[in-house]
Formats: sequence, C-alpha cells, structure tokens
Amino acid sequence: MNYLKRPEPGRPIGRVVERIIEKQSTTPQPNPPIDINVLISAITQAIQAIPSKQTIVNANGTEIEDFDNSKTMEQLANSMTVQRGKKESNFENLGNEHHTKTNKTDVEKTIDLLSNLND
Amino acid sequence: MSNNANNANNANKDDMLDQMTDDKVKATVVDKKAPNTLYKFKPGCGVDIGTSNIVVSRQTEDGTFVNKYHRNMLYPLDISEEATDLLEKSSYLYVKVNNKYYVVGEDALTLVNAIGKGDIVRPMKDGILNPALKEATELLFYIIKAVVGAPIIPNEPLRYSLPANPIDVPMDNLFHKMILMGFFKKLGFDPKPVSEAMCIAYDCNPIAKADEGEIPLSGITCSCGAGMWNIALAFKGLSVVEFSCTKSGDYLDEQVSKMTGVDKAKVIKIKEKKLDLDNVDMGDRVQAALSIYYDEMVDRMLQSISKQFQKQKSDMDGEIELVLAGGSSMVPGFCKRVESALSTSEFPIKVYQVRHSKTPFYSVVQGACVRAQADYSKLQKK
Repeated sequence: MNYLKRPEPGRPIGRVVERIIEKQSTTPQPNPPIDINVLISAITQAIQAIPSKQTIVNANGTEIEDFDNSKTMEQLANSMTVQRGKKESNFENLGNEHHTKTNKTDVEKTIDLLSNLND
Repeated sequence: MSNNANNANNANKDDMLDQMTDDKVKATVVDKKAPNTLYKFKPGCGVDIGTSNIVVSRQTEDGTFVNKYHRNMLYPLDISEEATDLLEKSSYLYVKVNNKYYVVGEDALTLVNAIGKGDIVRPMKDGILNPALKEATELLFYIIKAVVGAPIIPNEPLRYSLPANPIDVPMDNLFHKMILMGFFKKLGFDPKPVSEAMCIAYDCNPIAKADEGEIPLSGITCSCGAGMWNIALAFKGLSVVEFSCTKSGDYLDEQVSKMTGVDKAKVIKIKEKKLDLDNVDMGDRVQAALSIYYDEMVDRMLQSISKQFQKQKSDMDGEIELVLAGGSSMVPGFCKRVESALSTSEFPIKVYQVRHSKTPFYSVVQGACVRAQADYSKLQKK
C-alpha cells in the first residue's frame, strides 16, 4: 500500500521544493576530499604546455633530434665491416655481363664538365 | 609472403632480366680467371648496391660500358655430408661462413626450387642491410668483393649510388652510406657516394632550353625502382633538389594484390608479361587495377615534385626535359602516362619532353661510372 501523501489536486508543490533547496544551500557542507590524481593530471598538463626544449620537425611531421650522430654511425659501420673468421668459397669473381655501346664523344664531354665541379 | 610466392617473385624478376638482354646487348658469364683484365678499362668504377641486384659498371677505351650484375640472394645450407657432396658434385657457387654454406646469386634460386624447401635470404632488405641475417655484412662484403673486383689503379675513384632520404617515411641513409664506404675503402678504392637520381642525369644528359641556349646536364631525373623512386632537379650537373618516396613498384604490387585478392607473385607476372599501359585489357581486373595504381603513382610523383620544388623555391627559366629510368619505368606506355599527367597538372617548371633512358636498368650504375671517371679526370688535372 502506498502511504506517501499525494498532493491534493490543484495544490502547488513548487514552493516546498524551493524551501528544501534553500535549506541545503545554507547548511555548511564538509570540504570535499581532494582527488590527487586529478591534481597531478592538471599540473602535468600545465607543465607540458610550457616548451622545455627546441625540437625540429621534418617534412613528414615527426620530431627529429638536433644531434649529429655521424661519428657514432662511422664507428658502428667500421666495426661491422671487420671480417670475422675464415671464409671459403668456390669462386673468385661473380656476375654476368651486359654491354652498352655509347657515343664516346658525348660521354667524354660529360666527364669533362663534371670534372670541373666540386662534390 | 610464402616461400613459393617468394620464389615465384624472384623467378619473375629473372624474366625481366632476360627481357633486358635483347639482341642489342650481350649477356655472358664472366671468365672466372680473369676479372677486370679481359678489357682495357678507363679508371673510374660505378657501383649500384640494391636490394635485388648488385651492379658494377666500367667503361672501356672504346666507350662501351661493361656492366656486371649479380642477383643479391643467398640460399643457406647447414653443413652436412650430403650438402658437401651436393656442392662438390655440382657447379653451384657458394661461400662457407661459420657453420653454413651459402649458395649465391642465381644458383640460390635454382637450388631452392630443386630442393623445394627452405628460404632464399637477402643480405639487403628495404635498401639497407638485412637485420635478420646475422652474417649480412660479412656475406655482403664477400660478394661485393667478388663482383666489383680489385681496383685497376691504386686508390681508383669509385662512386656508389645512394638513394635520397624519403619524404614519406622517417629513414636516414647515413648508416648505409658509411657501411658501403667502409667496404670499398677496404678493397683499396677511393669511394664517394653519388645521388641515385643524379646518376641518371650523368648517364642520359638531360638538356634545358633557355634564352642563353641549350644547357647540358639540366632537367628532372627520376629513378623508378622497386622500393622507392628518387627524384632530382639538376642544373649544369649540380643537384638543386633531391628526394625520394617509398610508394613505388613494390607498393603498387601489394595494393593491387590486396584490392583484387590475387597473389602478389601473379600480379608481378601480369605486370611484367602482359601489362601495356597504352593498351590495357580492362576485362582483366589485375591489369585494370595496375593501370589505376600506375596513374596514382604518376600523380603522386608529379605532385611531390611540385610541392618539393615550391618548398625549396626552386625555379628554372626556359623548358626542361624529364628523364625516366629504373625497373618500374619499363612497363610499356609508362612515359606516355607521365606526359599525359603532366599536360593536365599545374607543374611549376615547363617540361618540353619526357624521355625514357635507353638502358633503364643500367642508367644509375653507368651514371655512377661517369662520375667516377670525372673524379679521376679531376685528379689528373691537378
């Protein structure tokens, strides 16, 4: 059986609701607990927004370091060209041949022009 | 890709090489006992180390380029009595490293097909040393040594082609450059890298037409390889702009295979045997898809050239030639497609002619050889 008092037909209920809200807003509320995670997230976002280092962006949008690693690459390449262990094979030279006849004078002109250029 | 598909793929590439050795050219096995001594070569050696092939070029006194090509592939065999017996009784070329035999070049393909199991391995992958192959550097060095041979003079100038850094993937060619430099120095050469696309300019000599007259070694050159295409804008033999893009022949094959559901090896076979871009059989869905993707590749190429030239603020007065070379440019009708796309695009430089290299497969290495000879000539002038 439903014991709740039903509003009488025609009686306004709005005033009662307003009074309840008024009462709640004037009653002092205890401080809500601080969510540490939210705080950390907010601080992190704020810090990230500050540019801390200079980055270079290449043509396809990815960030690349402004650091010359050519020396490392050279050392690495040298270490990898070291021949370890003895190799045996049944060949001394490899490959099939294809001959292209050219106009000797034309090629010589190109060579002459290129020999005057710097690398 | 399955082993069979790999083999079929390689077999199709063989067909392509067969086509290249037509009656104008001569393919012979080199005399094993007399490398670099059969001909009177001029000093200056060009080398093109690719994922599929190693090609070396030298020029004789009479002006003929003698190009040596070797298929860059290996078939590993564990050392056993049977393997030793097989290699002793056959004429397969092999090298023994650590605890394995590696059958090299064309023989690797023959053997894998005969045995029917195992995989072909490559010392190079995607244009760089194959990280999956532990002995990659040692094997590659050994093979390069056998293909290139010894310098004909002390410190002979050598130029090896180097692709430009691509615009579409983060990749740096520095390590590749250093490794090859180390190899050639150890062989006694004086090595220097040379831009892959510029090699085509040195081989084909594009001509620009300006008010001052014809300007040699000036134009746009494009090396359309399997893994990437390389572009350069050359002016009087110097590179003004250069870049590369990885969406080339291999990408095209993969896309067509995905879209049509046809095996990649079959796509390659149709591309190399049947496809004619002047006369596409639209009833064949693979040919139709290949034609569409070729158009996309050409459009992407021209758009990238426009963007890069505008970005670098490159400009050239007059009219220029666009020269094409490389394996992916060998499909009949490719040049016409480029011409047609050029006529409808807003290209920043006026192109009066699209030219196909007479020797598209050897243009890069021949250009490298010309550059090396120029280095030698420069030394002589000093």
